[in-house]
Amino acid sequence: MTSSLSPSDEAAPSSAAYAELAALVMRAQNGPNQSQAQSELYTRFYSGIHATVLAWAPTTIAHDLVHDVFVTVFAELPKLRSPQAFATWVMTIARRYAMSWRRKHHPTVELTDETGVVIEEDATVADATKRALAAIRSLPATYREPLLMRFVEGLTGPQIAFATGLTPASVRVTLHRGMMLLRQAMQGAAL
Amino acid sequence: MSDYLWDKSGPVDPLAADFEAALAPLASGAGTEMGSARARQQAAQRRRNHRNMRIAGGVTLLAMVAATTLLLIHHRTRETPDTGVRFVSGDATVQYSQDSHADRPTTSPGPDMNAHATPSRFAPNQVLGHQASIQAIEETYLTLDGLGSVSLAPGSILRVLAKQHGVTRVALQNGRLHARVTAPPRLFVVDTPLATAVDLGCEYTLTTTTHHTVLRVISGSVEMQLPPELQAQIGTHVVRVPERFELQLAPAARGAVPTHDRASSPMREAIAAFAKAPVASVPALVAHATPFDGVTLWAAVTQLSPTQPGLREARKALLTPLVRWFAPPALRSPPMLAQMAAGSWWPLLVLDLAQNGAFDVNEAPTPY
Repeated sequence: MTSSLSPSDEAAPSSAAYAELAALVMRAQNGPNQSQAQSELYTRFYSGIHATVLAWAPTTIAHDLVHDVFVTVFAELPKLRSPQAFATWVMTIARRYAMSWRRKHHPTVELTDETGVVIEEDATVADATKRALAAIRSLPATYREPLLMRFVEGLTGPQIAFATGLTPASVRVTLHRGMMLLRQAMQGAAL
Repeated sequence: MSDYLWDKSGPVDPLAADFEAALAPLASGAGTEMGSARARQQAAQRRRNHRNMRIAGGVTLLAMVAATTLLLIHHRTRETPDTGVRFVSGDATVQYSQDSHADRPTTSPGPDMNAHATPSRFAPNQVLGHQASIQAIEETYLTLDGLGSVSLAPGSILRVLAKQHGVTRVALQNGRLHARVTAPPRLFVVDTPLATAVDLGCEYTLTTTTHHTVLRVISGSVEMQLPPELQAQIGTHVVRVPERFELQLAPAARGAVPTHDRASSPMREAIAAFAKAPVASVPALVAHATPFDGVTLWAAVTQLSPTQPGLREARKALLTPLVRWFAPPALRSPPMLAQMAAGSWWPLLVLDLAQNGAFDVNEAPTPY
């Protein structure tokens, strides 16, 4: 799956890009070529949802959860009244799925946005990858998701803004603050 | 502007590149052969880039430090005492203070003028210098070069502070100031004994005494920045006041939320009570609020800290009508409300944007 959230790779998402996405969502709701439009949404949002899920759940379960998210998204899509809110809506569902999974499997651990999460990865994941994931997951949720979108999926800031429905300025600040916290957490140590 | 973290432009950030290399195998495209190959190629390329970029980065950093130092030196030497404030008409006395540190008005009563100079009458078109203190005898009109205009009610005392970085700054010691600002936001700032009003492109009236400050915004919006002592009491450093809202501040305030000009009498009473006992007055605020009071409820939410568990229920009570009136459908579920009450940043941000968007057309809020 490629990182194709935004039509433009480097520039800030334009209002035309948002309008185009809203039109695509409406087609996926109940328009001509509905399944084609749904496939397009699947391709565009897969990477963003995957990174969001990784902020809360281990790598082994992440792809399954992404598929569960899409099943719900396409089942509920006709009820979405604001197509322009699709990105926010879909990321909310992804986060809810991942958090539900975590609550179900770790019922005694308090889950808040302010604190980091500790997630055990299995032996198939390389040590450097585990350390990188652990460092990012130790941050508050505010920073985890955009940093994972940036580093796991290779999305640029404008693409993250497009995927999450947040403003580019907000994403930029979050990325930089998150990176600053990562630097403090790493304290010069290599991955 | 190049920014590797933001859009992968410019010098590679070594730590960011390390994270990219370590996490690339997890990319959703990495399961395919093409994805893995691409990740390996990217990682190898980044390692090659690291060595070169560290050298280039060092040189660039040195150049930037030198350039910044030169700019600072240049800026200091060309800073002039020009305040950008000019007398137009009216009747007032002006006196120059020698106390260059008295930038914020004090809470001591009476005019903040000392005996270093004799007050003199204004002359039309007179430019006011740094640290000029004006006492209006009649309604007095001033222009702010390129920014807009100000009028002072009789008896008002205003100190003109140095213009720095394009920002015109005055301090209203006492009385009433009416400002009409046409410049871009944040270029006109008024200090009062209790807070600082930062113009965001607007027309407003500011009335202050040593005991209270009242801001009434006629058009646009104003940001009220609170000093540390009020921040500690109220729990926020800034209160944004949009048009048709009024904000009252007192030294002992525990809360400060704007009041819409359509707010009912019971709502006004609840807002006054919020200033003294925020949590206890939340039920009254919620009971009497209409969609026009959305900004009021929102300001109250921001002044109740989510980190104190006892305040979460109060936040939830304030958020419930806001979510009903303004939130996108995705934010309307009870779990989402609970998350917002606990301070979850992103749905609060979405709600903030939705609510402020709805209030852009203040005559008719447009809930989702």
